[in-house]
Amino acid sequence: MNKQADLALIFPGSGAQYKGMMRSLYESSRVVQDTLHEADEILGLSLSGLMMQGSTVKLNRIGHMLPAICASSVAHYRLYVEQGGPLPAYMAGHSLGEYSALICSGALSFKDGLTLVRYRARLAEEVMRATGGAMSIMKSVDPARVELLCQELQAEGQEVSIACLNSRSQLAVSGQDAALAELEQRVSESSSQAQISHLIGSAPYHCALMQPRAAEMAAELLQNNWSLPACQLLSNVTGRPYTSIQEMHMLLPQQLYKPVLWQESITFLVENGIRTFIEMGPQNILKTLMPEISEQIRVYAHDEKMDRINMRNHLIASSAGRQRSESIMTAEDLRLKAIGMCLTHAMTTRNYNQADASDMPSLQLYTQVKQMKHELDQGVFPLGEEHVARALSMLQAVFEEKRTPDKEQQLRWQQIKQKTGVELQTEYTSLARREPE
Amino acid sequence: MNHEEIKEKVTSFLTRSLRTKELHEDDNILELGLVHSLFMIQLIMFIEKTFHLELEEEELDMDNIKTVRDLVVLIERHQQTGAAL
Repeated sequence: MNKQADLALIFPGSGAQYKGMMRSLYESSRVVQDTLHEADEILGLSLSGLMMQGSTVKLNRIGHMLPAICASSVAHYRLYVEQGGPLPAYMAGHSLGEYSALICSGALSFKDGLTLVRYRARLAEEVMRATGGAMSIMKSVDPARVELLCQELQAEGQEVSIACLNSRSQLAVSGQDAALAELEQRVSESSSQAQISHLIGSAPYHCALMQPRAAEMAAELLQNNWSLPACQLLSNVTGRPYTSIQEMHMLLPQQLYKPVLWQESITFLVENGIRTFIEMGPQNILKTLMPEISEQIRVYAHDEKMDRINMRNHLIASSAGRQRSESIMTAEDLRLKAIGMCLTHAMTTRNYNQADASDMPSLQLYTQVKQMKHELDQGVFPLGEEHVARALSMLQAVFEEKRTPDKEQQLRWQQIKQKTGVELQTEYTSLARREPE
Repeated sequence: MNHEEIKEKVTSFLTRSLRTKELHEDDNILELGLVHSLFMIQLIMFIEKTFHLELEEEELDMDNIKTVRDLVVLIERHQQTGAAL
């Protein structure tokens, strides 16, 4: 697989699930079918059935939702690879999506990664039940303002904090349900623009309520086999690429109770030359966020058919561009090649002339052109049309002196034209065909 | 769950979601803003979890569930047919 330097794959987290997810791809793609069946087998439950036929409530249960999104992302990625998608420079996942990225980058096997996702979901579900914690999404808000209101409530002894910094104006907050309700109230009082959705049945991810379970997560991570990822992988906790497997082991448990620095992650990628993002997973949540983070990028949601088509066209076009710059020659390269071919043909053409080689003025021309080409190769002077013309007329002179048959001459000119696009002007050709007197 | 209890639960859910101080039985929730896909999913989650029933896609057409009254009717109809999860 070739690697694309300006490409990043991004993987969604909670909220990407929807009733009937993956149905059309499951029906049309063998690799998607196989991947979802593999997930069913790993987990020992019909996850694929839940995705495609399950009720909204069943699908929204944490223990189903998280593995469903993760398995879907892996299926999307495998389909993408099957269809010749290039390896990206970076992968980044939002919350649960970080585990999808760990699997797709090869840091974890599908089996280990999905099993870890289930473990993490179980921890979250237990915390949700034990603490009554939950989560809300806030759109059209000022993160700094919300942070202040959280601190106010924390000072009053309430447990609530920012869980995900998604964009300039969107975030998620987690905490005790009563504290959340109070925060929602204060935010909406301070901003008439704010759109707030309390998420029913969501665990209080990425906040202090999860911290007591971090040590268990850390121990569980060590039970698995880890490899270095095939591309750079971003951490939610730092918004920067992991530098080692040890760092993954250190930061992934913290990811349970520290905020997801999503906007910072995307900004980092853009600053590091990423111009194309592909969202690998159900729906298009991350794609929708993009315009609120950066305007200078292109983003596709792999779950949307039109995006898959546009994405392929874009990737094919840009990889063709890369090949052009690697293997297709510039006009100047081609002219230089033509000069070289003239020299080769001059040497390899059989001599039909019985005269002595010393009587061949064209030999002198040949030596001059050879010297000229050497200097051009060295870059002593820039290549111009006149240099090509000299090489062509030298070869013409050689053909004349060697009495090369017309047919052979034409064949040789044709070869040069095919390889380089350079051809003899017709006036030269007619001159070449002049009968010797 | 009786009619009043259902109404009270629906009202308090919508009040929190829609950020309104007061919500009357026939207020059009579409006009209060904030009806987007995320809200719709939460509404389904709320109804299915709270009243233990499973809704069909077509029942969730916004034209059928514009008010607290509409929602209560929908929930009660389900409870009678006993389509519990």
